[in-house]
Amino acid sequence: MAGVSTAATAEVEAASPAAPGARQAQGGELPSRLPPGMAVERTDERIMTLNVGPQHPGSGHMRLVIQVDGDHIVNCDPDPGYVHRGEEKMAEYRNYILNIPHLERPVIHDSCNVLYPYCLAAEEILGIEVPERAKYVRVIASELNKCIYIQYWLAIYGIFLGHSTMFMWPAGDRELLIDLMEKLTGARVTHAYFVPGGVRNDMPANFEDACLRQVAYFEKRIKEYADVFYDNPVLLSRTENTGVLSRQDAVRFGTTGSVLRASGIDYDLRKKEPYDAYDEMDYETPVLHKGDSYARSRVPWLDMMESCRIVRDALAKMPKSGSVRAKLKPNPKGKLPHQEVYRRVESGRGSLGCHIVSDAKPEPYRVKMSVPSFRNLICMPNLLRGEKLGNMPAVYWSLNYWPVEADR
Amino acid sequence: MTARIADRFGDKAEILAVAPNRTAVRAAADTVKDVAAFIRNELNFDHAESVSGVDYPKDNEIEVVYHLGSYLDPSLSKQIMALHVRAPREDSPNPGSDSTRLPSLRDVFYSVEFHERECFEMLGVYFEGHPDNRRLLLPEDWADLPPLRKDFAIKGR
Repeated sequence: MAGVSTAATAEVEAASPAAPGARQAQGGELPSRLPPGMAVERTDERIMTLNVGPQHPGSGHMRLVIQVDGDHIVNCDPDPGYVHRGEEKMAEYRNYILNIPHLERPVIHDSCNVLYPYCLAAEEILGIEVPERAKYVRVIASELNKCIYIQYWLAIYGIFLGHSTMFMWPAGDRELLIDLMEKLTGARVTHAYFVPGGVRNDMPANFEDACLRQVAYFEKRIKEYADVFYDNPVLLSRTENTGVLSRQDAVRFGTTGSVLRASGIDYDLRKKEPYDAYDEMDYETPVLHKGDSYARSRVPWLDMMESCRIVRDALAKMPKSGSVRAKLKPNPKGKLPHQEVYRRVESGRGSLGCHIVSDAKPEPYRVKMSVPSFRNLICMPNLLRGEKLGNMPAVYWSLNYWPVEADR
Repeated sequence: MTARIADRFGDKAEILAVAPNRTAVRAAADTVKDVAAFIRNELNFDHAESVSGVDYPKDNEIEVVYHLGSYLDPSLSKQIMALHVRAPREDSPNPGSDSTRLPSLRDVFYSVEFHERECFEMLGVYFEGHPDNRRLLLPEDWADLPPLRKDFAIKGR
């Protein structure tokens, strides 16, 4: 909502040059030409504009400019960018290996999955084959990490619907898997575990037993969430039939992940474009059809149960020995003078793509991360229009949105 | 698929690369909307996954790459169509008011809306016909070069 704000209602051509930062005094004449990117904001006695965020805890690290008529939202303008860190620019200055620790920062709770498409794309550019065992270790780490992310999201979703038990339970149960990831990678949250060519280190000797035990308990726990949360009439009354996204709109807006699958489209990259060892895994993709906030909040929970299945399956099917990391030359370079690669994976929030342009130097020429949160943001104004203001958190957090990831 | 594009557009659309599940096409700026509409209507791609801007100072051009995918056509679920289009690049840019412009694909693929806004602020490519060319991630008073251009240098590097 940058720039000129005035009560006048003149039509102003928006695409023409003027001095940057020009501001119009209240009640004065409008400039005949506005700088590109600036817009005239009309005010109305009936409509009130509210800033939700960026400090408001219910908005995450972003601002929603919401216009309300009484209790109903008439317009919403998401304003992300408060945690923009220029990851893509930084990636142009560091070589393929040095990029790993900072590219996982946008979603530290899902750090394996954020790095995954980058590693797949870098492998394609550098021409490396991943050892068989590493493919399974990656699947396990990626699924455990997905559960960790979903638990964190579920905790936030619960607390913003006023359900503090649903904050405590996932936050506590998440520790089970964090302990597992610590055993596996050495770090609790920011693992930097995936590298082009495999994973950084092999599993510790006692990992398989601990993993099976803890995942079994975790699975038992998340099933109990149905009693306290998903079958709870208070949750149902707040989320059912709010923020309904139709099947057509879900496709038109290019949404992804749980938002897409809650609107009845069966699209899961692990099945549609299997990478690493996913083509050998045995699991179902949860799909719901109603497209409301309730369906969107339920899909990730069902996802977690499938993730547990995948972890067990991968542990059973993986080769019991072998290398987990292909050897890389120091400062590996792309093979061809100009190479473009686009790879994607299914993360905790949806399809995560990485577009790397290489010019055969040790640093990538351009790294673009196409992140699910950014893609799902586009439907937020459409879902909120017509809703009551009180339903805003129920709709917003049901989008499985992570503001830091959207900003990169 | 590539043959149909070549048949329809001739030398207005150049096939850059064909790899398993990936196709790259470059269209001229004045035909990119027609090519995109053809990709949507005839080839069944229904959404944009990503829009990356890449700066090529050597060619004096900025390239925008649309990665298009399909949810509804099961035969295309693995496919990504990368539609490339290039805009002229200016040494001293004045984003929005200089020659670095491209037609917006927002009418064809609604899902590019925020991606094109990001591309405008990060590389200074103005999308004509986009209903809302405001800044998205950068501060509103950003007065430096668009940061993803190659001549915008990070401090200390």
